[in-house]
Amino acid sequence: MKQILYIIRREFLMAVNRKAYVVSVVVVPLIILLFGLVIKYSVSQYETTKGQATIGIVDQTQLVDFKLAEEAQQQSEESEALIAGSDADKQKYKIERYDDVDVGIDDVKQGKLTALYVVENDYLQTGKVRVYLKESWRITSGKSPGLASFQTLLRSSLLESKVTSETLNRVVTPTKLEELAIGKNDAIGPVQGKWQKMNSFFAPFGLSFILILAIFISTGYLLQSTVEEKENRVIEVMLSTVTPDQLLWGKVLGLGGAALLQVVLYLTLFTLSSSYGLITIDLRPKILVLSIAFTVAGYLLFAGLLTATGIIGGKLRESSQVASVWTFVAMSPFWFLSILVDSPNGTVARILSFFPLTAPLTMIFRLSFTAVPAIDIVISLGLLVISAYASVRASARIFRAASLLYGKRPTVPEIFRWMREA
Amino acid sequence: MRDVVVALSNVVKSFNSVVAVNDVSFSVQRGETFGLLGPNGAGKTTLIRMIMDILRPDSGTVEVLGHRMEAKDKRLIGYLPEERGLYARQKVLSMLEYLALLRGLSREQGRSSALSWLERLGMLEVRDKKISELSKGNQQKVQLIATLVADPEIIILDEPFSGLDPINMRTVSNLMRELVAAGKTIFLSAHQMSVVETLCQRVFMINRGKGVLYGEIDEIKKQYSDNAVLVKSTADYDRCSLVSKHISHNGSRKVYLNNGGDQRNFLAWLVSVGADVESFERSTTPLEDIFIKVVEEKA
Repeated sequence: MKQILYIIRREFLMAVNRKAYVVSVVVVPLIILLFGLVIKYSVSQYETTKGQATIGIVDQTQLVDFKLAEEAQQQSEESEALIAGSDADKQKYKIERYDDVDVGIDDVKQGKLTALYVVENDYLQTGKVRVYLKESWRITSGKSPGLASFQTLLRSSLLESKVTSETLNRVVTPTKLEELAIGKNDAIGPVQGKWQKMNSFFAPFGLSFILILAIFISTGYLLQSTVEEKENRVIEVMLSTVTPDQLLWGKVLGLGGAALLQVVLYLTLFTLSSSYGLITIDLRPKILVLSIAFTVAGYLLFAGLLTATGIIGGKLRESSQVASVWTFVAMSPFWFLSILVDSPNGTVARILSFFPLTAPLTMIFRLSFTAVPAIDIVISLGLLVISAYASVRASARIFRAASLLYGKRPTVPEIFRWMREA
Repeated sequence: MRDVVVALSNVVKSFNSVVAVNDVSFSVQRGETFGLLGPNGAGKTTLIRMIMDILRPDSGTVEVLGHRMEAKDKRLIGYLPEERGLYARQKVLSMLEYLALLRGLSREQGRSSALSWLERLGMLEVRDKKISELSKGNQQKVQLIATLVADPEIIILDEPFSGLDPINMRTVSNLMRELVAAGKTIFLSAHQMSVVETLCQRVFMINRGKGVLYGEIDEIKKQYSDNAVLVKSTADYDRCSLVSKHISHNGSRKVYLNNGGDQRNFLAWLVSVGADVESFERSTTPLEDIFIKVVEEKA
């Protein structure tokens, strides 16, 4: 038993001292965190900068009623609606009256104005309006700034004296929509904002991706360590010192410890980000525990598969190529992401959850995205645990039989014979 | 009779359809240097791996210290494999400490033992170097220390002299003598017959998976001797009825006796004819010749 502990300790320390591990544990979450903070900051900046841009209007027809614009500035809800209109600009605009086109153009050049609208003399007959704006604006936006606000002001000015104020309001704002979404579990609720929408998908996606990443970083080390020991012949010295089972379990648990540390750090980061409102993700203790359980079982499953791959493959390059097939299959639920999002408890989601190689990723995503039926959790975890046990056990037998075989690649019947032999 | 520390009985091991070891039996006694001989591919390493419980026999039994090897017994055996291998990126002392820990020593004991061996083999200055930074000879010596660091009772050395220069070969030979004098048992597999002849008391020779020679070296040499004596004397050997032929041999005459001719009777004849005898010794066949003869006979 002590020997296993020494091997666990060594493998753990070797793994956590690798540069790649440090990068994955510290730098990757920091980048994700920074990315989240930058988005959050940008959104808040966007919120605070609303209303600060200004457009100028030169009215050569004397049709525009600038009082309506002034009223909007006073933050009266109805007036704001008059200016904002139903097809509102993404940003609020302050409207300023200009009498001289050249002065307005100068202000556009100096950045005081985002755009200058010139309502031409024959506007009523032709609808002709010129707009002056900087070249760069077209590239980034593709739409004239404050156009909706300007058009709303025009509509209001044209109809102001001809219809009742109620009619005017309905012309300017024909609908005040209350959007209701039929969501998960058929619950009806208000439609989430863009930020929330992005989060409710990306956070579970990010979590499941990062946990699978943790699994494959550590099983990758396991593969590398096994192949290296075989390649540089240390394995015979090790097998003369400890049993094959002790060596294998020491490696699996040592590198598993490194993976678990990574997982705990990632989950802590996600939990903290969630509690500070940076991301929207359901990480109640039950879901945290289940996510860890699926990650650990998934790690053991792939640890067994990758160790056997390393021992059979012999050379690091060849083994890595074969191992990439396992990674490919494990990541395959991402192909069905749109189906998983649309129907997280549907048939495809359930099939992917019950197939052990795709279960970890699918279940971690589903658990953090929706309420998963208990039966699905039990079947998925049960099958995964059984497969993980079988994988490590078969791998131990292959390890014993093939760790000292060099040069000759075993046949499939041989591999099956090793798995049957004790 | 001394204790038996390793015993193989009717051991068979096959890899697919190839029988690597076929019905092999022998035993190794405590405190002796036992030689395992055989041409390349004869099955020596497979035998050693079965003793180490790295491989399991298809049939037959392998006993170490009176029972089938268990995990705890591994610490009592030091094994130097033919294919050397250590963690190249690890430092010498740290690697040796790790192996000592795995073999049941405490951290302090492991460190102290490793340092003592490094000093004994004149390698103390490389303790903080990475294994990959060492010369091949020094890597060999570190590997030998790794075998001995936990003070094992049985020491299995598979080709310990390969890659060593004559000075280091002598160092290792002397070390082996010291270890046996200290009560250790050495199981030696080597190609250098002259070294085996000087170090081992008993040998087992395997060829194509089957045992072909087993026993004390002196007895084997006697068994393969050509009933000849090396004599330096003034006698006329043609006049002796016991002699079948005689040839010149390194300044002496090699005198072949007839079938059943007793060497003591030949010595008595020399005395009886009043010959002046400068030297008289039994002619023995070198182990190497026996090795080649046996291998060729069985081919």
